[in-house]
Amino acid sequence: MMRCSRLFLSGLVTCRQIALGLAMLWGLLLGNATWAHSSSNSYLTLSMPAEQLTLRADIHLRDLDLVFDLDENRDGQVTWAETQSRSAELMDWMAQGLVLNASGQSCTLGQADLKASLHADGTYLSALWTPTCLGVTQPMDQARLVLRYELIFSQDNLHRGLLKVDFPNDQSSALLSPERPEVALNAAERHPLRVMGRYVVEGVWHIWIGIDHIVFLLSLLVLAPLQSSRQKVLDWQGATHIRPVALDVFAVVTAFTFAHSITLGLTITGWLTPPADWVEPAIALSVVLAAFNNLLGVSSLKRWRLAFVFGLVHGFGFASVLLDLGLPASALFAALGGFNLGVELGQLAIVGAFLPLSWAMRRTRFYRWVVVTGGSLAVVLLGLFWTVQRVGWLD
Amino acid sequence: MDKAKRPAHFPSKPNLPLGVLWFLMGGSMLPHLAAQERFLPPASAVVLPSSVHANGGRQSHLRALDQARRAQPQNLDAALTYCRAVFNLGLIEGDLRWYGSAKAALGPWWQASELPAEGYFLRGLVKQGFHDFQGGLSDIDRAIALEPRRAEFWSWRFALHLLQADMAMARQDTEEIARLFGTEESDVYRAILLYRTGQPLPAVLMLTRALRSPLNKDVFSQDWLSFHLGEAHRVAGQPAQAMAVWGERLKVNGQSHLLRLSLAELLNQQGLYPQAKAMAMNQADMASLTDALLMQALLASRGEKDASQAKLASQVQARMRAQALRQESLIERPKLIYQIAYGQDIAAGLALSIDNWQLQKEPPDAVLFVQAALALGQAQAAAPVVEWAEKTRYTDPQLAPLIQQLKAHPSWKRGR
Repeated sequence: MMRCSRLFLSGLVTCRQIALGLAMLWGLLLGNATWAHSSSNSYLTLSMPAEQLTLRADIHLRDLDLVFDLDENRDGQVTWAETQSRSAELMDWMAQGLVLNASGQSCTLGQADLKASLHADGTYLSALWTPTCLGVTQPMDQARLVLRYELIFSQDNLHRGLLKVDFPNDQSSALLSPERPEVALNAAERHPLRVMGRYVVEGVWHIWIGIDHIVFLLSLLVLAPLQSSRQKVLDWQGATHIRPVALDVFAVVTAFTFAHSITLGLTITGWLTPPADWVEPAIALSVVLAAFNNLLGVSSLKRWRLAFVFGLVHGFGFASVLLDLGLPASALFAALGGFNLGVELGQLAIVGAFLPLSWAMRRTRFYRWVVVTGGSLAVVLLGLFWTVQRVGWLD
Repeated sequence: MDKAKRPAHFPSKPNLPLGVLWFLMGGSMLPHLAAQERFLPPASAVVLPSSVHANGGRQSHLRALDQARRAQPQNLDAALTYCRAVFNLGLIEGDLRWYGSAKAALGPWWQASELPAEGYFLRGLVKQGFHDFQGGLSDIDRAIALEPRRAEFWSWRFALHLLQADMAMARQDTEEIARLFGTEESDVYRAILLYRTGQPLPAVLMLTRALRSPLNKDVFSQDWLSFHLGEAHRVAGQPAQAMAVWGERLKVNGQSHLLRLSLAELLNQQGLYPQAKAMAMNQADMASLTDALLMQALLASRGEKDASQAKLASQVQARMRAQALRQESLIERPKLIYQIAYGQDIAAGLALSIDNWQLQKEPPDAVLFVQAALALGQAQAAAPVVEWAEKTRYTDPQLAPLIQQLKAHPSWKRGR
């Protein structure tokens, strides 16, 4: 047994090495998920009261004490007088760690007005500046503003700057971290059309990488170029006219779109809350049923109805993705609409690629045996695997 | 779509009128805190009741270590010494901010592949603190490979295996500890393993013996062993003994956040709300209370139906909102308690529990997980807890009836 005699924090404890191990173990055994105190935040606000740009930074005095050791008289407490006595240092430090640019021009923060503010976890130093940005001709809320924030990070890697932009026509938020200490605030990029464009791309991308959505959709479409009859699916004949095929596809796509738009919108706005653990398994199950339905032949359910019912479930999945992407503080309609439009465009692209091929192959045995029957069987198995996996039975 | 990601972020407390209003206004998904009013305090006003450099009588040591590190930020020895000091403070005070400081100190060596054993060890500790348990274990294993006779390395390895419910590996660690450091040391770890695998009574005896041993008379060992002895009593269905152990120890070292929190939680569980609130609100300054103690004070206040509940609730809510703005997934138990035990948003709490359980399997999380599943009538969601309890044979007086209710719930049978 190794023994140690070490100074430990207060210098009062002489310990054995194992005892140090014991001491260090506590937090883990009860408290690893029990972090008793929140991590550190600064609150930054850019606003334009009376058409004058202002920057406010509220920084926890605990964090300032960590950096500046404010307790001058060593009584274990920090008073406002002790804080004020270091105001010159504090302002220099803040001016170095907070850099504002407007339309490419560096802004001068100038003298800060130092006060205090009370937050839920204690008293903060509240610094308020009226920055001067020479050479910027347009109104400040229309300028391309870039804010760089680097305070505290070198002392606390978990520290974050929480920025609130509060301009007359733009309210938004941003998070500043050691990895991303800078944020660009461009009025043009926050225009609803630009936001919509970005989310259209996200919607298209999501459909294309969402293999379960693609498989579900294709399972609903694969029978479209065939004429239903009382025979087995293997013996169904290829359709002779394109019109009913196109109408069938249109009905399926429209029902799916309509249904998932409902649940997507209702979930995003908080009207509906799907149970946390069944959305992904239910999507997998929808794939199984859609493919299985193809094998039932004349007894199969109307595919547009399936598309509608399970489209509701897929909408919850889309909502989850959209929420994970993070919605912009303003232009929510544009983001929601853009994402939905992107999903539709992604679907149409898949339909556009699949339909001509299936139409061309509809009279071949290969299409009926391999694509329709074999494909549906394979999708049933794949969907079952996903279902079991997502329920957690494979863990 | 990321299939590993469950829909944990659904706004799970629908509020129709507000939802509509917010939607129509094109409002933000990120609720911002209202700007706090600025004011000029009197010069003599105390704006920070407890200086970070002065807490726990650590006056000059932390200052000296901090200054040494800042003077030479690329000096590994200075960084490691500071990192160890602040990491320990994080453990003692339950304050995540010290972990941020520990990580900042190790920043230049975060990706380094050539480190001394101490470097690997401390980096492993910080990694596990950020829920990178595999990364943490890997670094600790490397530390052990370099210096196998450092007991604290084994101690943490054991703890991480326990956290992940890898009881076989935890048992193997106790055997290595016995081989390297003797049975008296390993008995402590064996005792912990015993009460975490359904045998709390022998654990009580072993921990009582360890607590009395002259080898364990230092403050940290006494606090730590007292905590586990109390836990073993609690798990054995002896809450009065648990409260006595923790209460006695707090008389000696009132600064132990872990003991104070454990006692406040148990008092709340026992319905002793006035005592629980007094225990949690030990510091008069509400803003200085940790989130965990504030949460216990709120639960006690609700149990007591006292007038301070609204104020405490608004305090907790403000903190939770601020944390939500960080958009990160560091799971904190106070948040789970707020969502589930306090009932603020049980659906969100269940989603968070599902995610949390994939990372770590701790008894208090198990209780909250099952409570959420029961409250929402989704018994099957908490099936992983039942599997864990069956596999480890862990049970305690709070969890056992909940698991029974879970298994008797109609939604449990439907899913079988």
